Amino acid sequence: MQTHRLIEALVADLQPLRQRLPGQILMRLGWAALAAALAFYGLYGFRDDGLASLGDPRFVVKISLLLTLVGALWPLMRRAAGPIKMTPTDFKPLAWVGLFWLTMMGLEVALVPQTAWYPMMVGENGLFCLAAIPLIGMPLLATIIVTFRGAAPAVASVSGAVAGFFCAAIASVLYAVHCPDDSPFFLVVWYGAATMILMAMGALSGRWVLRW
Amino acid sequence: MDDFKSSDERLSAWMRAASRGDQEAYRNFLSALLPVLRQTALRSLSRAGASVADSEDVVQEIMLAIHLRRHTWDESTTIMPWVYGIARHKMIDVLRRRGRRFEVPLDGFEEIVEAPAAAEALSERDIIRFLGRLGNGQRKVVLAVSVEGLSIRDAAKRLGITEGAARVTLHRGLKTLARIYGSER
Repeated sequence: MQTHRLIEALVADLQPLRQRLPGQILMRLGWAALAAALAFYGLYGFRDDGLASLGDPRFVVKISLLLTLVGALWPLMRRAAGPIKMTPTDFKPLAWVGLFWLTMMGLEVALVPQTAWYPMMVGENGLFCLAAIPLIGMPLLATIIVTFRGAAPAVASVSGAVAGFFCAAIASVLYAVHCPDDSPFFLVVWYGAATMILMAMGALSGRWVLRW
Repeated sequence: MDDFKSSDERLSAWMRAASRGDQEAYRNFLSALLPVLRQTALRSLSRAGASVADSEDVVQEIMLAIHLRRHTWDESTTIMPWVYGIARHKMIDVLRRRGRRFEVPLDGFEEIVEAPAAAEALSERDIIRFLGRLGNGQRKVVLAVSVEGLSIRDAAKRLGITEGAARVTLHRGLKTLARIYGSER
């Protein structure tokens, strides 16, 4: 086919864009997160202290640690879906979040007696957390991978890993509302391990599925 | 550099208008992009020591990718980095499909092969090679719109289908075409 003829076909196929990529991601992710949340809370419920937990500064700190992570990962997600390779600058917001996490861990070191560090890190729910976050995150990740397939990720495995990270952060927020362990130590160890699982799943599925 | 910048701005403005459905702007955008993509394809192929005989196929593959993935462009940025990102990805894909046997750098070859006009004539045979692999319905609509230059409405009338059906069929045809380009060679 001659190229100017192809151009005519493309022009004829032009439709106003109803939805751009960020909107598409947010909408689909919203539905997936809603379904995952309903299923998880339906099965396991919220924390025993329910709404009262909002008055607990340790709970509030935990949630804000996770929410800032979600916020910092969002621009990265937008980049991961596009054809332009990511640069170290794109990861800068993540460094700020890292600093925030380190500060809160420092605070924990200062406020909590040393003998309590280890029990806090091990927590009560470690293994459950390790299973729950990937399970909540998986439908989200599947949604993102499908959406990325129609997008143009520059490096499939990296984009998949970023998607896994982002889904893990959202799943963590959902899970954190259920989980009684509030120590940043616990977050780093167990949430961190769960995040690794989702990132690996994202990177692997990205490698296989995200070629375009 | 200023030239490049201003043409990037112009192309971006056309594409923004195209996103809102302006066909004329879209035609301008694609037409202006064509020589750029030809040069990019020829240069990358010859640099990798691959055959440039079907470089026009590569150009078309890039154009289809741009078309089908245009919702991924962030309109607050200029478009050329995005275009080059798509082109780069597709070039890597093409070279990978061809295998790496021919990857001998041929310095100075670019000047000889940069005769884009010839490339278009060469790919005329592809009407059979690529469109022939579309289903009957898809091929008819794509042919009517591209080769005969009919509007969707006229093509629909001619083929005795509704305008909506023609629109959907054309879009599916282009998607199939993108897949065929991606699996060939």
